[in-house]
Parts: sequence; structure tokens; C-alpha cells
Amino acid sequence: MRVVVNARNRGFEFEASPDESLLMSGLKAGIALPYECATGTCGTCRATLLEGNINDPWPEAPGRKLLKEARDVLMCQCSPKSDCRVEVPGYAYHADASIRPPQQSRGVIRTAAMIAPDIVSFEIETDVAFNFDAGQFATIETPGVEGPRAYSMVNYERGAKRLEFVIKRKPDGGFSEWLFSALDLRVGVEVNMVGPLGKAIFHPALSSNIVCIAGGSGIAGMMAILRRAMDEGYFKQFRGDIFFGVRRSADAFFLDQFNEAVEKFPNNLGVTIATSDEAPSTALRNKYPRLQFSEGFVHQVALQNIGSKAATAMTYLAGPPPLVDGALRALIMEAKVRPDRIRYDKFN
Amino acid sequence: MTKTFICKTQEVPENGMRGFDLNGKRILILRSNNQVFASDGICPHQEVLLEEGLFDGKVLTCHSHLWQWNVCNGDAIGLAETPLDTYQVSVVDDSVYIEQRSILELCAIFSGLALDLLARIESAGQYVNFSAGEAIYDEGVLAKDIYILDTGRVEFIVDRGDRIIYSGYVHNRGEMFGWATLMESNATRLAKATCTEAARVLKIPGESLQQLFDEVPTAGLLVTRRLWIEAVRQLAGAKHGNQ
Repeated sequence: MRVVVNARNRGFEFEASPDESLLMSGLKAGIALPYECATGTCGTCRATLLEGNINDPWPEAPGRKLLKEARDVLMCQCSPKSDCRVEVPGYAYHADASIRPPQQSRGVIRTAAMIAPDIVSFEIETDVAFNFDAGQFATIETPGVEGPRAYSMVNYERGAKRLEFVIKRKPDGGFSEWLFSALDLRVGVEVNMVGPLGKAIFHPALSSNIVCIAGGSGIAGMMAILRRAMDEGYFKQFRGDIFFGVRRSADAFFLDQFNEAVEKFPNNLGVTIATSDEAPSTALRNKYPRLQFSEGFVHQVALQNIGSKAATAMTYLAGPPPLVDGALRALIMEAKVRPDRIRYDKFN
Repeated sequence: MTKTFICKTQEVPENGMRGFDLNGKRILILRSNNQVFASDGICPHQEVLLEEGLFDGKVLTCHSHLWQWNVCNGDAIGLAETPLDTYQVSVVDDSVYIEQRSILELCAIFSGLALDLLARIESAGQYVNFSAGEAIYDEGVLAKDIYILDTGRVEFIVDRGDRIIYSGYVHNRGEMFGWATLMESNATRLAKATCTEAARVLKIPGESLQQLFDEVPTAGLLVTRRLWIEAVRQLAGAKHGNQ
């Protein structure tokens, strides 16, 4: 089916499958359509349907509350039933050649293990090599759970066939309940994946200091950024500061990896664990002498530590929406950081 | 233009902002160091409420995708792709009044011209209403007028016979189109302009504008320089593959 997307600056025309969302068809055609979460929550991919008919399998999608007109749709949810024409509110361009379009793939859950209270690390083996940029995510859909969920890749390597993710248990989270309720039974289960997605990416060509501020499972994408930067020797030239926020000392994870990373690059890499609900434990301080520990909300701890240096760095944010909002406010209002020096993908 | 009462000064926190409803339109009133500013209360990008954003006394940031504007004049900063509609503000006895700026003040090619000249340009034209689906002009016809959008939405279509090429649209108050009329030779329309929503536009005969610029050449030169920017932008768009 032919789909026309008219943006403020120009129109685009591409072939779309009725089995795929307008967003996926457009991204695959190399068009940088507006999106962030790709899972129906953020509302960024809003478009106005001018002609044609679409299927909307999830009319209760939270992102729909951002729609204004009856004929407005979320491109990440809707697939075409006929040729159609939509308008997006803004400018759109062809994607750069370096951006990999998302692909569908099948995968099998190979491992799943608790690494902290309410945090599970799991690995998926994919049927095709999965190329992505550090900081990107994939959507995962499993039989029995309605709708795909988005998770950032923790590992980074070219042509990876094994992808690592972390997930936090949420009381009413469909996928997280499904996984947590019977961890052992989930190993061997087949899943559908779409990716890579996400624009909060790190390339060494960035050539500037980096700051990562993450809370809870938001640390996932930062691990891929750290991995890539270390593999490339990036911290021999530039500085990296990672701030990882958790509630209590017992909630922290990946600390062995962080400790090793700082041991390798002691001059230019700093990792600070911020605990919001209690002072960091002495046991933790003693066990990880290379890491810094601070009590407080992670974005406040980060700002106290880096202050005006944030203005010249590239800052990556990930975590629960209140953390991302708080960090944005602090960076823009207090540290006067330009928005084009902040990268994050919205998931609220 | 009439002044409209919005609120009492003290209803807006000092060094803060607050949104008000005015006949179904959201208006944002901002206060900073004894100055009061007013703008549209809705982000022109994804239509979120700007009162939920950030304001540091000079720069307003939408929390959704971090578009920023200078609240003094609505100029786009950084990531913002379009300016923000701002209002003239007057404060009398703690009462805040706003006055809508003329659409020519918002129009990029006329910005910086004296207000009396803008008034003359406006009076040389006339406001015309179009209904949804109606064409303002067809491709290939002689370009006689320049148009400035007041309300509604207009899209541009090139018909290549075997296929139709969509070439963007205008949606913001003060956006200009149909500028081929300002070319020296008898230029024709490169695309058909159709209203995708009922629209109100200011239609100014190119001839009247030319006469005015012959009379005030400095203004003519300024507008011509601005037109170059517009032309280059459209060429860049064509290069990036209007197929």
C-alpha cells in the first residue's frame, strides 16, 4: 500500500505493509519520521490522517491522550488498511546513511536471573545478526502479553546475536510480571523483536566529554555506551562521568563492571552511585573502592559534581520519568546546558 | 487591534508563568524582573501546554522536546523549528492586557520593517476566507499575489501527470507563501495551494508591494534579502529529494 507523509517542508511516499505500523514502514524506507518510545506511550509520532483507512489495534494507548483531533493517530500503533495520506506536525528528512533502519527478528530467551531486588537480567539470542548503536533499544513482544515493550541493550558489539537486557519489576507491568512470576519457565521461550530504535545514541565521533545520568533499569543503555567507549579507548582522550541512582545500597547492580572500568581508566572515568532513600552503606564503599557514593537524588548529585562542566559535555539521560524530568530541569535551568547537548528517549 | 484583559499581575508568580484561557485559546503570561511577557500557551510542535515547561526569566523551554524561545520576541532558539506567537503586553494598575501583533510582524520576510510601513502593506492587501478543500491557486498560473496565513492550513501539491508530489504545508500564523509574485519576470506558480482546513489569508497584490518598495527602496532591499533565505531553503529542500 502506498503511504504519503506530508511534513512541513516536503512530502514522502513509501510502500507500507498492512502488517506493520506506519512508523516502522516509514523508518524502513529510510525516512526519519518523528518518534521516541515506539510503543504507544509518548505521543511523539502523532499524525493527522487526511485520506485512507487505518487499523488501530490499541485504542487505549496512553500516548493517545496527546492527540488533538478525532482523525489524529499514533504512527507507531496504526497500520494501513488502504493507501493513505497523513500529515506530521513538523519537519522531516531522510535518515542519515549511518542510521540503521529497524528490522523484525525472532529471538529465544536464553538466560534470566535476578541481579538485585526487583531487577532481572536476561539474554535473548536472535535469529539474525543485530546491528545497533550504543544507547539504542528494541521492542520485545511475547505470546500471552499484549503489545510490545521497549528495552535498551546492555551489551554492545557489532553483529551481535546475543542481546542483554535488564528489567525492573513493576506491579502492573505485563511483560515484567510475566517474566518475574516464573523466571525458570521463561528460558527457551520465543519472542518477537523489532529494532534497533532510539536516538539517544553514542558514537565516538561525538568527540566530547560524556555524562550519563540514569536511575534503576535506565542504566541499561549507559552500559552499552560505556562498553563501546571503553572498547574504542575513548576515555584516553575524553572524560566520562556516570551517575547511577537507586533507592538503597542493596538495589545497586553492575558495580563489579563499574569498578573494573574505573580501574582501567582511573584518570578520565568516574562512576558515582547515588542512593535516594538512605546513606550508602559502608560495606558497599569498602567493597568498591574505585566508585564514589553519595546520598541524594541522582540528578542533584550529578549537578553538584559536574556543575558547569555539563555545558560542554554530551549528557545522556535514562530512567523513570520523574528522574528524567528533574534532570532536564536541573541541566537547563541551573547548569544552562543547551538542549542539543542532552540525549534521551521519552517513555512516559 | 484591541487590548484584551487577561489577568492581574499578582496572579502570575514572580519569575514564573501561568496559562489563561481566552475564548478557547490558551495564553501564557510570563513574569521576569518586573517585566511581563505573553505568548501562545500551546507549543507549536506537538501542542503540549507550555505552562508545564521551564522559564528562566528570558528563555522558555517546552518540557516535551526541549524547544526553546526568547520570550521577548518569540524567536526560536536551538532545537525549535518554528517561532512562538507572542503578544504586545501593557500593564495598567496591575492589570495585564495583551494585544495581538499584526500577522506582518510575525512574517519572517517583513520582520524589522517599521510598523507604519507594515500597516501600509497590510492595507494594500485584503483578508480572504477559503473553505476546507478549496484551492487558493493552481499550478502553472501567473503569480499575481503573495499570501500570508492568518488561520487554517494550506498544503502544496505538484502534479506530474502520472503522480502527485506533496511539497509541505503552512500552519502557523504569519507564514508566507506564493512569493513567486515578487520575481521580476512573469513567474508562474510551481505548485497548487489547497486548504486542508478552512483558512483565512492576507492576499497582497505583488504589484502593490513592488510600488511600495520602489518608493521605500531600503525596505525593498531588506525584504529581497530575506526572500533569498527563503529561496535557498526551498532549493535545499528540492535537493534533498522532492524526487
